[in-house]
Amino acid sequence: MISESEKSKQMVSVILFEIEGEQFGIDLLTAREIIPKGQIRRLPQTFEFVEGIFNYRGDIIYIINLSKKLRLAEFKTLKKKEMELSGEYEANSYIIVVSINNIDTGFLVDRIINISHVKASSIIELSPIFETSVSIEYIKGIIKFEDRPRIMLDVEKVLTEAEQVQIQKELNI
Amino acid sequence: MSISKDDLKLFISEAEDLVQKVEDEVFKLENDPNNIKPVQELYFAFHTLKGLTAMANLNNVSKFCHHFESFLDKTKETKIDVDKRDDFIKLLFDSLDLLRSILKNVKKGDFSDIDENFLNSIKESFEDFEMASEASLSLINPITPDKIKNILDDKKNFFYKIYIRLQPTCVFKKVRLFIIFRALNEFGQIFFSKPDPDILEEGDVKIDFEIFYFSQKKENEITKVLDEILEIENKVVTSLKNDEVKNLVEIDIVNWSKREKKKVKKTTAEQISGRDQKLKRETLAKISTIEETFEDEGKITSVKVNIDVLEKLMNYFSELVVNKNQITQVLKNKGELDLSRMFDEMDKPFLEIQEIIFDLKLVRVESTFRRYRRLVRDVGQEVGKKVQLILEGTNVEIDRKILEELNGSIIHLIRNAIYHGIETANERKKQKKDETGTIRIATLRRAGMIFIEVEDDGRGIDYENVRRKAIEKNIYSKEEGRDLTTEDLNRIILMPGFSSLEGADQISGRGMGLAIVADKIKELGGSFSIQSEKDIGTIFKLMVPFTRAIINAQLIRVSGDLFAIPTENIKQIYLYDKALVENVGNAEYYKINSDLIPIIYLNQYLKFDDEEKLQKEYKSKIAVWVKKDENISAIFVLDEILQQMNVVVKPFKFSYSDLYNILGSTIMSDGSICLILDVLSIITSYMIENKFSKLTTIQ
Amino acid sequence: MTNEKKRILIVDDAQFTRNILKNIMNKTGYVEIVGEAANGKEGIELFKKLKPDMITMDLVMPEKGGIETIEEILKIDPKALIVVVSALGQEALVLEAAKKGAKDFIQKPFKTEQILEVLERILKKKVE
Repeated sequence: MISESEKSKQMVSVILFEIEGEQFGIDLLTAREIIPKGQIRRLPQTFEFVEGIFNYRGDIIYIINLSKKLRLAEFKTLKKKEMELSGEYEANSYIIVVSINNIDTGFLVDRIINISHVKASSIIELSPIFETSVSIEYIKGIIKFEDRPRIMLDVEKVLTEAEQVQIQKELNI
Repeated sequence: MSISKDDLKLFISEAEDLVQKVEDEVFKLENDPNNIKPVQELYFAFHTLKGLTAMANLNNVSKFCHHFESFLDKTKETKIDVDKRDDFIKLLFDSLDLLRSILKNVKKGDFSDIDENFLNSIKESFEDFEMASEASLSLINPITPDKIKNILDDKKNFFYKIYIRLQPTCVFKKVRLFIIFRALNEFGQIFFSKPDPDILEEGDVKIDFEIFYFSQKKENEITKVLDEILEIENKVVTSLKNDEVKNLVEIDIVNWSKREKKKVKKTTAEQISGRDQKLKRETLAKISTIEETFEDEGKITSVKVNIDVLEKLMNYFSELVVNKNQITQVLKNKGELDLSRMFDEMDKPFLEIQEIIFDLKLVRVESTFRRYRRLVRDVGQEVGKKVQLILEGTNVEIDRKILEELNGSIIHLIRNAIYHGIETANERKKQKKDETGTIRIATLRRAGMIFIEVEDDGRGIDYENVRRKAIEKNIYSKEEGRDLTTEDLNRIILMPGFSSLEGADQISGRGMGLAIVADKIKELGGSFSIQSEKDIGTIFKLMVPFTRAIINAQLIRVSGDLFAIPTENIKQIYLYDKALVENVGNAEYYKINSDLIPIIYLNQYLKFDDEEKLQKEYKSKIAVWVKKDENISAIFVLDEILQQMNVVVKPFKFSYSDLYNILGSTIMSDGSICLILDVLSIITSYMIENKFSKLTTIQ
Repeated sequence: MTNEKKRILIVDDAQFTRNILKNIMNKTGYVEIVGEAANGKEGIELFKKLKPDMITMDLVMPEKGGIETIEEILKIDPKALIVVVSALGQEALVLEAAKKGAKDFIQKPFKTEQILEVLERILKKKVE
């Protein structure tokens, strides 16, 4: 068991990135690599949030459009609209390769902010006081930063059980 | 040669059937030694083989079978001695190898018989074997140096030297020794003697001798055992110290066994296997070279086909199809209708050839996997472990080439499982596991993939040790190492060079080479994963595409994206002609000759264009006549047709799309990805979606 | 020690041999010949009926030979004590009998001491 005081000393590395003008974090350990977006081949008849497939070092991996997956487009922020207008904003420009159930998958994000080292104790459980743009199931916690909190995404949950069941069904055909 | 070609084919296929039958029965016998039926079946099989080979003028082979037949005839009544059974089964296996190698030669047209001298020596040693099985005592089991430690470590064992002098009136010394040894072996094991065990076992003793013995019984109890036996004039039982035992085993027994090896006539089994070492190597190490698959052997008119030749045939044929299609197109454009019709008539034979070739390339995994029984048996014996093999899903069909490529990896996994996974019978007993370890190979086909699980119920992977080693070897820092998940550790095990680090066998329970297996599977377009639990066992999961990794494909463009259609699904390629489209009910058909073929607009089907674009006049230029089978075909309407090329199919490991419409993907030379359409599935799903009551073309 | 006498069945086709065996054994006073059989078939029948403590067995007999008889008796009772009484020159046959499970053997012509030794060792009875 890790004592509370030790826990408070433990550091967690978080990749901070931006989608649709909103910033999110994921645990660095779940990520394999961050690569600039390359040519993504679209797939016919797939889930809307599947951007397509991508040649990742000779392996073909799926690319998930996080904006669509998290339904962020519906919450287009004012900030983003401003940036779009000024032409500063470049959407979907990076792929974060994560490993889910032993299978590499790419998350398409707009911008990488930085990699922050935060105290484990500064990641807190979601509480009702936060109003989030993202469905609770995908949230691992809230990272308290000095300026403002950000949502820490649960990478595994982003691909929910339901979808995996669906995929299993397809495999059985 | 007096035998006609047809007769020869018949001979080969019958002989192969029989040899297969022999193998099946030997396995049955091995699994159920008390069952007399396999022996009877073996007897009949060798009897028939005897006649068959005699007819083929292989007289010495015939005699060879005769020896087996007559021995089996005897064995039918008197069961095989338990301690001789292994030798007997090995003998049968080696005879199988010999017979197979002879048949192999015959197939090549080489009718050379077995050498006369060889046959004689076989016959002689066969007699020895028979004699041995009747008369040999084999009551002394010398301990080999590798086993002594375990026996010495077992504190319950006491070691004795027993001096025995027989009464001078003792005449039947062989029987007397048998009775003495039998009585002692009931409570322990005689592990050496002076004079040498082989001499004593023959009853060749003057009047006194010494035996070395271990037992859990005390000295007085052993004296009591001997007290019950007649014709013993004197006996002295003395305890042996551990180092005395060690000396005995490491010096006396080792020397004796060296003498023994030189002196003793080779057993029949050794002679047989010695004759064709090369073959044996092939069978054991490279169990399956696809060119001699059992699939072929089972059929009446089977011939051996080299897989490379088949592959070439396929490729040349594909080229031919493309050329033919181009010629027809040119002829049509020029209005040479007579000629183009003649070419069209070639379609049917072309298609049939294509199907035959495709069928030839598919084979049940059984054809190769059944050989693993033998492998498991041999490797198990080699390391002295009891292992059984369970095969599941052996009727799954897979491309020969892939099966061939997989074979080495699976053999590697089996060997690994036996060497490092499965524990010795003793360890297993302590673990309260069945003494016999189990390896299960299950095969399953889902969509375009073959899933193969190689599972053992052995000691599993000790992940904590892997973690420790990963830190020790500075692959990870202490902090990082602590947080490694099982998944990470599995990845580490598969890192090239990790498992070959010294002592890896103890840490991971796995030898080197798993990285190589993983690479090989990846190369085949598949994936490889490990699932293991300490003391429960390990499952290696292999996933490979069932189709050939390389297919010839026609590249096409739909809505600006690149796709490929396997050329084997293409009947014809036409320039799209709107005039040929006919509406029947709600459906559209394309008119080819007098047939109406359902149309599938790929851009609509793939739903790549938005509604707006779909509404616009579609500028499709190409109609590709694709087929599901003889009766079911469709026209794919698409934008552009590009070149044909061989592509390496990368199947999807995991899918978010309608997997059954996409066979897989391939990476082009520029690194971009091209999707390969699964024609069969598209036709089927389209027909279902659009409620075509009959999935046939309208005539 | 119980006063019960050990019960013995003799299987031998020669009346002469049976008589000698009987005489020697009876003299000991602690064994009792409960039955005599002239061939294997009779021997098996008597064995089933009498359940003797020990059987002496000739090997060459009409109807049913000693080897077969030993096998069948041991099938009925694996613990049956069978001592083969053989003629000289039958070593292979005696070995076969031993392998089938005969406890021990004596050779004809036998001496009184030999018979007593058999009783002593195999029935664990001290001769007074």
